[in-house]
Amino acid sequence: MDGEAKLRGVGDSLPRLDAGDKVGGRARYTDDLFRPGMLHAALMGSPYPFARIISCDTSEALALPGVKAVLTGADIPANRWGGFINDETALAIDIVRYVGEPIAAIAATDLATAREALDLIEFEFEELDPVLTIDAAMADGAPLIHENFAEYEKRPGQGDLAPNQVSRQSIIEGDVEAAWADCNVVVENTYEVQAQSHVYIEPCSALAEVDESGKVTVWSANQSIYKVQASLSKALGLPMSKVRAITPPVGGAFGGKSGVTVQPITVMLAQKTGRPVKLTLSRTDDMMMMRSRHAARVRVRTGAMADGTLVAHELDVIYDGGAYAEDSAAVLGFGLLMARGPYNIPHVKLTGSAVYTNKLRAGGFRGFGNPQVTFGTEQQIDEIAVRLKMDPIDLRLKNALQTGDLWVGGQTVTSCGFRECLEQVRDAADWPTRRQAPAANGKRRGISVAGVSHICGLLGTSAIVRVLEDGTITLNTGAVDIGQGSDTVLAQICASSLRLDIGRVNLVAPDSDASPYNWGTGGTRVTYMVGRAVESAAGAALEQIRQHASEIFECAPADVELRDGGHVGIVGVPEKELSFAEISGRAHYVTGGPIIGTHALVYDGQEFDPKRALMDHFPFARIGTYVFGAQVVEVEVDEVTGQVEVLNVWSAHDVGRAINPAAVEGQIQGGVVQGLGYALCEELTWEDGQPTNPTMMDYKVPGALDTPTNIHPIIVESEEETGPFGAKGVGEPGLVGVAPAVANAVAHATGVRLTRLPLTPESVLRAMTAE
Amino acid sequence: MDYFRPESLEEALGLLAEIPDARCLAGGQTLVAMMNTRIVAPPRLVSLRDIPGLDQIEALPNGGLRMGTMVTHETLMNLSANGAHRLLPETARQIASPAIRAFGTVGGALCHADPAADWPTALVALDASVHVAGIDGKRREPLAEFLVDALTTTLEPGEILTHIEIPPPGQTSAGAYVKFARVEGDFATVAVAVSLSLSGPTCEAIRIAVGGCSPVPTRDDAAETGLVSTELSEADMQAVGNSLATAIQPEDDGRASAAYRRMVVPGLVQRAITLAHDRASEARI
Amino acid sequence: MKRTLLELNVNGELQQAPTRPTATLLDVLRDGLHLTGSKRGCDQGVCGACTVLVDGRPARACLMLAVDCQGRRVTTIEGLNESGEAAAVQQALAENGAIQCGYCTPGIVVALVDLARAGGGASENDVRRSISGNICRCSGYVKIVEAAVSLLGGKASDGR
Ligand SMILES: Cc1cc2nc3c(=O)[nH]c(=O)nc-3n(C[C@H](O)[C@H](O)[C@H](O)COP(=O)(O)OP(=O)(O)OC[C@H]3O[C@@H](n4cnc5c(N)ncnc54)[C@H](O)[C@@H]3O)c2cc1C
Ligand code: FES
Ligand code: FES
Repeated sequence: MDGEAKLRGVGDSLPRLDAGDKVGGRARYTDDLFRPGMLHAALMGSPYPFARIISCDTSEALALPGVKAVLTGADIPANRWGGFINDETALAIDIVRYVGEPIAAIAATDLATAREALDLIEFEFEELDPVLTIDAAMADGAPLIHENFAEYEKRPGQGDLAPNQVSRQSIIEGDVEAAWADCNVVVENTYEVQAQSHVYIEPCSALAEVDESGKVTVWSANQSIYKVQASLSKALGLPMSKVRAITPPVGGAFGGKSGVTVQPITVMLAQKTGRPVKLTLSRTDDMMMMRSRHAARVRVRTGAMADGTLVAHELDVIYDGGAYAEDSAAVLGFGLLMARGPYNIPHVKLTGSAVYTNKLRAGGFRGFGNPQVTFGTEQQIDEIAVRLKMDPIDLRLKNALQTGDLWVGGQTVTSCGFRECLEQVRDAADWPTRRQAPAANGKRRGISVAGVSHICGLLGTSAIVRVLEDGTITLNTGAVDIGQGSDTVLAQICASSLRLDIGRVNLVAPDSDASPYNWGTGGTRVTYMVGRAVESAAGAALEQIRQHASEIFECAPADVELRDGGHVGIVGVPEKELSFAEISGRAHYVTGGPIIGTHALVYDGQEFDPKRALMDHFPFARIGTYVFGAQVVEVEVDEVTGQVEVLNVWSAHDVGRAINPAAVEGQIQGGVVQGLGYALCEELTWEDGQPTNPTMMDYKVPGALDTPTNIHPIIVESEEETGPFGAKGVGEPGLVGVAPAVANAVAHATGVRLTRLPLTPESVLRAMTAE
Repeated sequence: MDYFRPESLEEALGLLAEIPDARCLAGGQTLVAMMNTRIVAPPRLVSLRDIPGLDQIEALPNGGLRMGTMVTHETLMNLSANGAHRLLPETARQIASPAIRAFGTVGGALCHADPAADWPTALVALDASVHVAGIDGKRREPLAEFLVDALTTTLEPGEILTHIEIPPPGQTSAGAYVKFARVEGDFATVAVAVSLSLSGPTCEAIRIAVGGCSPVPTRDDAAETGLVSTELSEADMQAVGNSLATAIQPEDDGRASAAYRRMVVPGLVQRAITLAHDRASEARI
Repeated sequence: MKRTLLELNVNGELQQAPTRPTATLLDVLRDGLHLTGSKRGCDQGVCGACTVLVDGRPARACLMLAVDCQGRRVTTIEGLNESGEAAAVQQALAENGAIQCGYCTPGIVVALVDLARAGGGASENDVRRSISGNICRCSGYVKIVEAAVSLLGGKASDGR
């Protein structure tokens, strides 16, 4: 019966599993949850970028009717946590390091009361000299943002760091210094990229409850229940087994919710009051208190021979990490790994650092250090093409990596659709024609390209596939779907692995008390890594099914075949057939025990090769499997205003295999539009350390009328052997090449090259008129 | 805070007079946003929405228009108007987004007097005047005088803006509203409103207002007069654009620098005049 | 803080909720009535996640004072779920892959229902204008627009 209708699984553009709940407003996100007796909390942010807390008086706030608890840095444990350096606390203790840094928290019977009470807290500060730029942080005698830096607990291998330095790393291959002599053309420039705010539409939110035994339960918006659990355990000084992290639907994250956000302070308020506490940030608090993309300065030099062969590439990047180290070391390392791009360049020197400044901490954000360096590298490749009078796509094709080539650091690229991506965008864009297309009156028109590379992979993950008594399936991975659609994709992988319709797969929501370990949603990894775990766990369940069937059929397990729709039979004997329900019933009640397939793995690709590349303080031994893309952007620039209108985007991505093509397209389109915001209008700004635009009124993200109607996603399938059904990932790459492709198109249109993001109308107009 | 929703203007004026700092509530699209961020905390709000007639648009016998303060952006967007009055729907459709247009009011926008808002600019170009009611009586004044400074009007505490009046459009007239903003529906970085009428090929009358660049919309009387009786050649337009670029008093802000505004005003002025001119010429044919 | 009992017509029913006088409609819907389908993304009228219908017009619930909504008809996503236009819009969005995190979705459904009720076929530009005040950070809008055009389309695209 099941077998007759087409089974819906891998390769089908299925609607999200939760689509019905979401369109009906029935999906319950963290802020939509209520618990009996629940209190509401609010945070107070530091008014100064750098200051010592002299004293604090909370008595008036506490006296306000309805206020149940007030916490400041003096009331909380001084337990520090962090990514590579444990430098963060739930509230600032003694020193504030950025404007907006939480300094006090209040729980009250309603939110308005909690916010009103914040005004009643009196702080006294002694202002310190703030360090507001990369240069100021690195200057001789700069004030130390973390005076106790030496005492912080750190991941091993951080090396000696200069004052205010969070990390310093390099990757060196070949001999760059000697190679410049072989180059017929060398381009050199310094690029500056801005801080971008995540602006997930759901602000950070947590709801915490503590039971009699002291066990903590936290519902929160996050990208990993296990990261939340681990950081909370550090912050609270509790064993991990006393912390339960649950993730309701998440309203977007993009990297901004990958670490803990407001969970620690919410739990502390719940502990203090003995009541459930919910803390949801206002938009402005979220923008001032949480995270941004790293601003950075990138100095790049690239050389090629007259025939377009790329020879040498030198890049030095300094990421502005803000006041806390967070994931800066990883962002730096990953940025360097991506800094050569998807090209065979024999001589590379990639160096960089991340520094503390007295601004909002920077963290992971779609692309994770890659967009910053790619903005420089991909513009230089374009410039070289211009200088050599070569077509920019031809130049890229000439140097493009292929399957079997080596990534910088020495890993073999196991599947590479980069050439195909370039060829497909060229064809789809009707490139030769559009490169020549005339501009309308009062406009300039241009079109250009950027190559894209990224990884999917990283760390540990696991999956459990249970066959229920009726033959339906419960899949449990602990992976958090932050909107990108991984729940659906994992269910598709599970369904197709078992040759079932997806309707028979039930997915368990992430709950650290129930779900198997998953490192997190990030690094474009869920489809690839968790998908692998799911495929293998399903395989393990299938083995048990096969065993049962062989016992019932009295045949060899090898003679048992899987048939569509939850059946097994004997090879070559169509009438011999058993359903999963029959087998699972036997397993539950007769012999063998319930069928549970599990699989666990840690990313297991090839390690970097120390003989090939000098990798100094590089934080990973291996990261992931490489993914590729190419993005073409066509623009029109207004001669009066300098405004860049994007007419068309073609974005081709090697995803290995598209498990759910519509979801892949959605990732590409969403990434492109976020990239257009990064390229053209988004920038968090500060004046004397004070954020000047931490609202959606002032910080503009593109709306439906600001985005091109023509964003053409193109799926390229290179079939990665290690991937589930050949799949890799696509979550981040759609954003990565957009900014350089826009800058290249603007250069094509106007003849001027902009090296600072975003390309505001003002900056474009100024460059055009200076020309 | 207390809240009232009176059913007559007199009652409203009385309620406002009782408490200093009492405020009118129109569409709330600005006021409530400010209350949410605790920028303002009025002790009393007097909602104007049950006062009869304030949401009406009336055609005057002379061809002019009189609209109540509570007329929404949406209503104006759907208005069928003639000649230069078409500036009204053209402006309205560029304000914010549907939900804000459905409740935000033209009077609220004028009273708030945001230098980057659209109605002050467009209505100054249309030579609008305002009717104000106070406990001691009513007055009428040109909008250009009503707008005193950024976020400041001649409204005294307790006064209510009741109506806005627009003179009749000229014979072969047209308008144009050219808005430049960071994103669609944002407040203007620079906006130019033009209302003109033609007599044959020559310009009979013209008003040009530049918004977003000064505390209040900028006009240049002399430059406008210079355009009258010309055929609005490119050189004429350039001259007026340049003089307006000098006349504005821009400041650096999050939308753009002052210098940038001076750079783009001439080009945008030319665009707006050209658009209005083409429309009027079409109407003539 | 002072509270008054407010009576609101929400989704066709008269509902009472104790409310601070400065509470917005969004505060009352979410915290008072637990109608959490309307989302809070900014509280400043910018993101559109809180969009509801008030007297049949799309409205920012975060910019309407709850007291000022007495005597008006408020319809939230929960109330729209009963209507045919909403069902069609919802199905189109779901089937076109137009939903990702979903936080913007209820507001977008409300905006598109308003467009659908206007009747007369919608061009791509009409669709984009109707959701121009609804920020979606995930989708890039393409699939939302395609879904709406496939459902409501009828007018040729009129460019921008
Ligand atoms: C996201 C967003 C985007 C926006 N974009 C734009 C835009 O692009 N262009 C633009 O021009 N505007 C824009 N606005 C502002 C919008 O147009 C407002 O609706 C308008 O400015 C105020 O009208 P209101 O009826 O909402 O006034 P309210 O908010 O009710 O009142 C505003 C002020 O005026 C006072 N007031 C109101 N009416 C009277 C009266 N009759 N007599 C005396 N005082 C009165 C009030 O007391 C208050 O101080 C935007 C607003 C938002 C939230
Ligand atoms: S919450 Fe109302 S518009 Fe954002
Ligand atoms: S789907 Fe996430 S904001 Fe629209």
